[in-house]
Amino acid sequence: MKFTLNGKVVEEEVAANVTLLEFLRDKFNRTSVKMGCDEGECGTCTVLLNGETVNSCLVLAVQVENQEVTTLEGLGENGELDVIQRAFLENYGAQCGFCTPGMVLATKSLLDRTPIPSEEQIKEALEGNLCRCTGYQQIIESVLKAAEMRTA
Amino acid sequence: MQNQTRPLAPFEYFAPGSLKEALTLLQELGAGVQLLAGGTDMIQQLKDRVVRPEAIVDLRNVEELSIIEIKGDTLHIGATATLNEIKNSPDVQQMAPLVVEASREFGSHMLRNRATVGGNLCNASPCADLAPPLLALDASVLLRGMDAERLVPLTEFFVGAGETVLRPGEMLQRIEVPCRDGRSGYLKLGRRKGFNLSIVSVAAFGATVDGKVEDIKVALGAVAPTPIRSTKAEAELSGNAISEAAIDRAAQMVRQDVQAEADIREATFSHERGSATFRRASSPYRVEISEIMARRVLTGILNGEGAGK
Repeated sequence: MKFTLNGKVVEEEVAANVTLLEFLRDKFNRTSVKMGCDEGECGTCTVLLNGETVNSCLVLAVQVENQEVTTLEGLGENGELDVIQRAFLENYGAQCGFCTPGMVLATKSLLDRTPIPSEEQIKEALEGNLCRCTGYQQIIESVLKAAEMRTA
Repeated sequence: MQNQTRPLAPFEYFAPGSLKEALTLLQELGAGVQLLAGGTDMIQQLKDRVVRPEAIVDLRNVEELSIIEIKGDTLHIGATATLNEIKNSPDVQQMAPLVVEASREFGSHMLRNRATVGGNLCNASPCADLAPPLLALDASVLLRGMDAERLVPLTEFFVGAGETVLRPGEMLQRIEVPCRDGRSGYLKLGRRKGFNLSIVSVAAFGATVDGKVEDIKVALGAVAPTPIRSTKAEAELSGNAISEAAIDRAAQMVRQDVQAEADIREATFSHERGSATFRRASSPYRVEISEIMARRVLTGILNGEGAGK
């Protein structure tokens, strides 16, 4: 099966009963894609499918044939952090870090379609990503800051 | 929480490119086949081994199934239209704002990117979020088989928790929503504000003639094995000018309907599929809150607060 992973076309065999979450971790070592609840509640397994957030635990790997998948590893260039990652780093948007890849990807998807989001829009875009550390305020501030940095 | 994913049992996988191909597969594969739309419920059911299909027919490449369009004064919503497609569709916003309102409170943004209206209805959960608004709007479902199709009122579609009138070889092609002038209201109660499963949801639509509400349809979710209409409440509200007193009587009728369902569950110690819905709150609470929510929704419509159309 062929698909695009972080900008590169890749080809790999996969059984039909494998989830995208398992496939990305086990076959491609994309360990930024976390296994949390394994039922679409927590958002730690978030990846972008054609630019939109999905719970990779609820997608079959075979379903992404000829589609574009982006994981956190696909952000940033030449070893530099993406501006969203920097915003999270500088604004205390991460503590233990387990939810952070999902948060950052959900932020990217939001800012790609809404460059200057309101707080309401941020809450809506990130509602499927749970964080047990920060209390969310710093995450929202990080997203607002990222929007500022991207449009500056 | 576990640190291993729950593996799925093996199955054959098909992703047909047209409706005809999908229907052919459905017929050829017979009893062991399972349709897959957005997967947000189905893939969990596969993990839980609630369903054990030999083959899965994925509808993601069947473009005819995802079309949203207005035909005359009927809104057609394709079965595989996602919740976000529905929520953002100008056609749905114009013709059925009640559906948009309910879509906003469905799952999370991320789940709405995948979850489909057809999956929501065919999964037939007692708390299916789109059922009450579509019931209140008097929607029908077009069920398509290899050689025949039938248009079934949504009121007749659900048979029990997880059960519908779909026959082997048949699939839900689209939802047809008749559009009349009117006002609508929706309330969903969950344990928190966002990303929620409902304890009770109430949707109502009041048709207006010359700006006056003439009759109201009232539907409830998560109070019975299937989403229901409260026809007794509707009877209180039809014909005559709708007043506060009539709304009060209608809310009492809703209470009676919800109480009757609670009594059945009590008497039968029901543990059938869907019973997880009823563990989210006690029956007395559900009865009490249903009346209150119905009164609020109906009062909103009477006072002209609900969205137009």
